[in-house]
Amino acid sequence: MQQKTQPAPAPPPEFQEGGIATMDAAALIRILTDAGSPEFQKAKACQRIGELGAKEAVPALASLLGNEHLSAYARYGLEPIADPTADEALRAALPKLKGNLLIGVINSIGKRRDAQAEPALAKMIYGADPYVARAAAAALGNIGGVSAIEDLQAALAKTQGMTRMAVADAGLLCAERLLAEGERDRALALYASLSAAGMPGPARLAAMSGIIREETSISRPR
Amino acid sequence: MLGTPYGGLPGRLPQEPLRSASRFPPADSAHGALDGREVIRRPQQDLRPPNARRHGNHIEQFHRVVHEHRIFPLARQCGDPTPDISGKRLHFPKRRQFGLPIAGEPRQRFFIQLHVRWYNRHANAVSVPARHQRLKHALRRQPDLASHRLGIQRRRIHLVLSQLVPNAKCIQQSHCVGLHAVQRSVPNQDKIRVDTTMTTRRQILKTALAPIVARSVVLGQRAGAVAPSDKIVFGGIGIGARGEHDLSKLLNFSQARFVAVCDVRNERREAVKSMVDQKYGNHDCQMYDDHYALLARPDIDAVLIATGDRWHTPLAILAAQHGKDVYCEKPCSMSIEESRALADAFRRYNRIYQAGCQRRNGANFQLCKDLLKSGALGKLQTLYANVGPSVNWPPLPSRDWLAAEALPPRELLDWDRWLGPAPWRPYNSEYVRGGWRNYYDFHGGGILEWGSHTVDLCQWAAELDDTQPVEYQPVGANTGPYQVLCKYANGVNLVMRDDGWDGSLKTGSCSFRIEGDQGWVETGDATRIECSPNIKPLLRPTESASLALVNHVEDLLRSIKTRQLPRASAAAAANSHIVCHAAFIAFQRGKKLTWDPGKREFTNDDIANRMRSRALREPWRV
Repeated sequence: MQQKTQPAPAPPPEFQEGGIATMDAAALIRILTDAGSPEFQKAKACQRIGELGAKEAVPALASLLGNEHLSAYARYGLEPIADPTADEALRAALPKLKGNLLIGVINSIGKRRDAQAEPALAKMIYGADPYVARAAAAALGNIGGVSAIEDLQAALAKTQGMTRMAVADAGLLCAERLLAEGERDRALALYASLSAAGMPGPARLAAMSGIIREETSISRPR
Repeated sequence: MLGTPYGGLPGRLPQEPLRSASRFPPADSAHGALDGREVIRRPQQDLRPPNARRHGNHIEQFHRVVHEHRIFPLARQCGDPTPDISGKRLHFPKRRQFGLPIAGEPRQRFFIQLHVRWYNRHANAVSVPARHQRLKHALRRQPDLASHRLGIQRRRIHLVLSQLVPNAKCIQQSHCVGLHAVQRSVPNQDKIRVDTTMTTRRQILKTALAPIVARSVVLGQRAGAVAPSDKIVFGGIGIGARGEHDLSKLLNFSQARFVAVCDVRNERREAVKSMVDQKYGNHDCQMYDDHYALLARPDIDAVLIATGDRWHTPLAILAAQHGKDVYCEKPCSMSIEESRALADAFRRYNRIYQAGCQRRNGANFQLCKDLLKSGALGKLQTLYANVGPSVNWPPLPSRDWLAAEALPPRELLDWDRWLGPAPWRPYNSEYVRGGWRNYYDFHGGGILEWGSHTVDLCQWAAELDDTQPVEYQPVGANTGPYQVLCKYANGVNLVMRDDGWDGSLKTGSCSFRIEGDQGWVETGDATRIECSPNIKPLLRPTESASLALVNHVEDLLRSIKTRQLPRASAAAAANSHIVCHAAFIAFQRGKKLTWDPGKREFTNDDIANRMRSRALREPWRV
């Protein structure tokens, strides 16, 4: 428990949100597309657009995905927009980015569960950048579905170390999703493959736990 | 055992200790009651055969364990397999099955069928070193999982059941019951059974310890001493002022050993190392600036996370994925989405998570809960959660940035890691000194800061840990006074308010109040309990509220050993944090919001639904 004892220093005028919090989508897009807009205003405009869910702002947001300081803000705006154009913008950014910026876009794709990105993500698991590979595996786990599971199971046999750990974690997520969707047998089969010898220890224990939970559940078919 | 930090309650109030105690009656009870009168029972002659007399303690212990651990027969499958120890002869039905109802998740029941092998015959026939040797030998034959855990700490073995089944109170006494729920071929097992057939220790070592497990209590433990191998090894991440307070309590427990600290600030790394080394009288505490390096250490069992709020969920989930148990300071999450991810991850990985909501283990708070549960307050009407004066942390934190300052060398402060999952902003030393609070990207305002304690207390006291209110009505201004009026589906009200903080009742900070239709009670960090006149005769002195943290750490250590859920588990913390986040969003939206706890979405506002989640800065994710 901490008590504040001294007043915090006041933010300078150029770093005060001011009227941005109440702007409409058109005004926010103007801030984003104006090359002269300060970084701070663009950041706040992205966050506000995310709350409004303005799909017309997708191109303006997508243009910031390669900006080291504003990429997270751009995804802040894109992630909640319930329109396929946001998915398309994120997919289109995949080949253009690398490193952390690419990982951020992959994370957003996983969060939005964009199944159309599966082929690209599956290839990334075997890429040179292990951090990108782990992000791709996690995204596939979030997306779930038949082809994602197949990709992950194939990757289990071909990856190692931390990447394999990420693949196994994604597999656990897929198994839980299968159970939620009533695909009990397939979920148990996936758990079984994840609990095999050689799997990362924590994931293996989690898979065994999943089997026990399901096999001993009172709702288990008998 | 936690014990009872207060003196018990008369009349209608339960006389149980804080933790549910054994249902098994005392074996040596010589007193009984008949028609309300106390009678003295004569000691009965022991009619059991010599073998039973010799092993009587073990058998009674087994019977007690059966009751304590709620191993009840699955009547439909196996009739009544409870061993009969009341008669003249022992009777253990062979290969009978027991069901173990597990209360892992709230209101969720799992029936675990276990293979329990009763091996009292040779319980004391083999020396401890010999048992140890055999155990090691058995474990060496498990090259995969066993070596993963035991390569460095061979003597630290965990009962497989305790690792696999949430909240399963495992039977760990080596002299009592050998237990091994899971065999090597678990995936191929149709079911895991419990049987009561006699077996030898050798058989158990050969077959039962399959994929692993078991803390060294299985190896025998001297009373009063904690073997180095039985200590719970901790690492710490982001130990600032609050974390240091947590750590100071943890270091006082002989069962715990703190071996490593990770921080993005050199100053904090060295301060914590100095504190730990001074306590232990050595120089062993290792320093890291990368949390992956700390989490990769196989000898670390659990981590203490006391970073800024933005890091809490991502780090806790990473720790679970690395097989670590966690004590994490509150607020535990930055959004509703993070709260869900946190609970899901700890359920998935079966790790122990204790949120820093230590008042759940405060005796005065517990007494208030007991008063409600006993019915003394009547039917629950309203819960009040004080969320602190808005002059400290207003409900709506600032979205501004502080002026940019020159970035210090990375050796002194890794600003990129300090920001972590929060969106980028220019460096200012005020943030690092603790001024990050009250900035939206780092903080959830007064509602999250204090509600994570007091709303959490309300949910716990009312036994509403598995749900959230369905309505959120903000009232008042950001400068205070303000309230958020919430209502649960069962009609109970929850009021978050900023004007009750150490108010006229002087119950102290983080106070909460319970109002029933027959009385009310309020308490806080001042320990004192205020109540309606009809409740006063029921009050008893309690231990100081300041001891809550000590109890809370003890609760964590016990949970790590027994694999029982601690009081502030991930699921409970997630639900109480979701309440706070929903109230925070309602205050931002300035309108009444309705919430569906099942679907975890607002039913009357799309913008509010979009605010359930925050994008994390690359490369972090939950």
